Amino acid sequence: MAMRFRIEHLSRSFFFRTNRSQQLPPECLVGVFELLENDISALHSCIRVNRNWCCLAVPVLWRRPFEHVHSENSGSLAIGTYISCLPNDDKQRLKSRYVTIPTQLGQPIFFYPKFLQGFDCDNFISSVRAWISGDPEPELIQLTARLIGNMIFRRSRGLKNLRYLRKEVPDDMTLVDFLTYTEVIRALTRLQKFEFRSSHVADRDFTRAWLNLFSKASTSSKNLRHITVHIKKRNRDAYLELDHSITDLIGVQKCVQSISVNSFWSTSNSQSIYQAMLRHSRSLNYLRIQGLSDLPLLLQVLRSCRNLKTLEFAQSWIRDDNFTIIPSTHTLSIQHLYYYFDYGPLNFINELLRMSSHNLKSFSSKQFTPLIITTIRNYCPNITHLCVRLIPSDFTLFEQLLNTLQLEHLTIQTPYNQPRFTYEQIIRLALTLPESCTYLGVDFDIYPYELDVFLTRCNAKLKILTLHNTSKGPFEYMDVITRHASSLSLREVRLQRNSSNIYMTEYRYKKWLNEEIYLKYVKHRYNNNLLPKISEAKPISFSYH
Amino acid sequence: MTGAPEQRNVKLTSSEGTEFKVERDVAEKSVLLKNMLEDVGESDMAIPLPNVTGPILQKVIEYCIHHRDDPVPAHDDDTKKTDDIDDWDAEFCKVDQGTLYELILASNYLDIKPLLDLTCKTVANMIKGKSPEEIRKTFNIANDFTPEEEEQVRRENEWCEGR
Repeated sequence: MAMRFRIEHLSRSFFFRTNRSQQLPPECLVGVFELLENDISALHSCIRVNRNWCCLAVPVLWRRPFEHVHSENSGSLAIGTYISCLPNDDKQRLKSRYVTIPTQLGQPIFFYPKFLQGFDCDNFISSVRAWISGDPEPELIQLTARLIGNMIFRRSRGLKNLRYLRKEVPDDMTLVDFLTYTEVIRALTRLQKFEFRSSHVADRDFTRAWLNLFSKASTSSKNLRHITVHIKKRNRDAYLELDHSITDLIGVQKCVQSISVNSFWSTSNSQSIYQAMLRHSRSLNYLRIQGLSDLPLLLQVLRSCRNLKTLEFAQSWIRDDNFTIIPSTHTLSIQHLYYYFDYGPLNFINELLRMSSHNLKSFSSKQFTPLIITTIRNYCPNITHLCVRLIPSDFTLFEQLLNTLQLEHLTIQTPYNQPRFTYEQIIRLALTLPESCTYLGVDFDIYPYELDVFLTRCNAKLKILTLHNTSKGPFEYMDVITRHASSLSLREVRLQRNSSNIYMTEYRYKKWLNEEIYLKYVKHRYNNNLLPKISEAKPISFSYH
Repeated sequence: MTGAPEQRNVKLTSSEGTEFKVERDVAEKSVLLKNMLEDVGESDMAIPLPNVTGPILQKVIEYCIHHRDDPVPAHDDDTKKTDDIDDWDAEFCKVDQGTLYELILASNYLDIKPLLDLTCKTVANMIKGKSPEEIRKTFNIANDFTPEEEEQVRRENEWCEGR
């Protein structure tokens, strides 16, 4: 078939055929497509524009397909395309095992395996399972996965991301399988991002397999910039070899910028884990720890990492230990602090706030007690972004804090089991919100008439208004917002899904917001040019990502 | 009282020969110019920029003056965000498509990464949420696929549909 086209040929013919001044050169177009790397829908449109766009966008689209397949069907379709790239011998091996290879899978336009840069082990194996129809034997799944895996790793120019997110599903592929694919070790040498999260609890077999992975990653990859390791142990003092292995993985890297770990290690190994982190004290700019362990040692790390800008803590399911904090006069370089604890050591977060002092620009916390509010008021005058869970009875104290900050971004959530804000408090919030505030996230019960009064009295020049709680139905809220849009110079309204649309896919919800809310309702009723756009709001996570 | 040290001006010449005088720290937002100035040392000679027209050079200088105190961007920053454009930058990019393209080419040639990122983000935002036909219309692109090619591209990338 004369259908196969090549990038080099197309790029040249494209420029000769078109008015060059009105088109972008390939390297700039690729730069644009790379900005859309996480917007699969946009890239999918790009590849269908013309041959040139197709040739330039397909390699970006196929960099990390298994990180983007969220349904078995889409994973299966991606595998179908990889199957079409297999050599005939391998296709015959599958056919001899009674695997049906659809006849329309002829010679593909591109050799898709060579574009792969990110590999998600779990989604890969689930996609292979979904592609083989019926209820396939585990050996057949493994054979198919191996044939595709061999092809991918043999032809890949090197992985940048390796993601092992293991859900508790039947095990069709163990880690050992993945590590024995042809040239997988070579493919790991360019690795920059290593993400390991397993919901399996460590046992002897898993530990052996995981140790193999960590040791291969340590020997092959020295340029990891992002390391994520979440290991589940029943007992932190068990399988100590896992602690040593992760210590090595972190320690042998040249320049790690971000680390995210849960406190899986035994307290007897805290010193070595934190020492490994300290090796990256110059480069580390992001640290996330789930569960707190050996806070005095952790504080040493925080004090030494002069470029650490973002610090995040999340509650762990295991018991935390050693919360003894000795007040220090050191200043931390932290600019963004995230604290996702329902309950926990308040003294610790209070001390961090005090030590971050003038450097702190954003603070996000599920705990926002009078002690924390007072500390921020006394020590952190430069905070511009706040995302907090506020108890209405603390409102007066919070109001005093608002008067001292030049906030740009404010998100407030109230606990579900607490009384709602009173009408009077909502008016006071509107009056206190500083003019500098351009983003407001509302995750508390507010009636449309209260929102109306709030927006009437609000002094802030809001550009984005996010409603996380629209239990009264989005239409009434949009009526109110649209009436105020021009006086507020509001550009965007974000609406979180409520119980009536919770089961829509992301794509369907976006489409519904655009067609049903924006076009058929808002635009139809309020025909002016200053209408804010409407998009989806994600639930508040009190986290960086 | 000690003021800031006086800066020498740098002369730049656009493709039509129009001369622009800018302060050295403004010119050095361009990595290309920074390297040239470091290599050449102090000189009154104008630097010719044959790939940049006067109106575009004027816009580029306007951008560099506004951002002259910004920190040097990290080269390994791999965030792929397109919704972090501030008001001034958004206003700066409200130009016709030809000018936007020429700004991309100029920032690419002069090696001004923040301007290249900004202009590419503006183009990326023009693509978002559009169908292939709408993109063709927006960027005045002809569809040169044969029907068979179009169908095969659709089939091989079907995993993205409905996203």
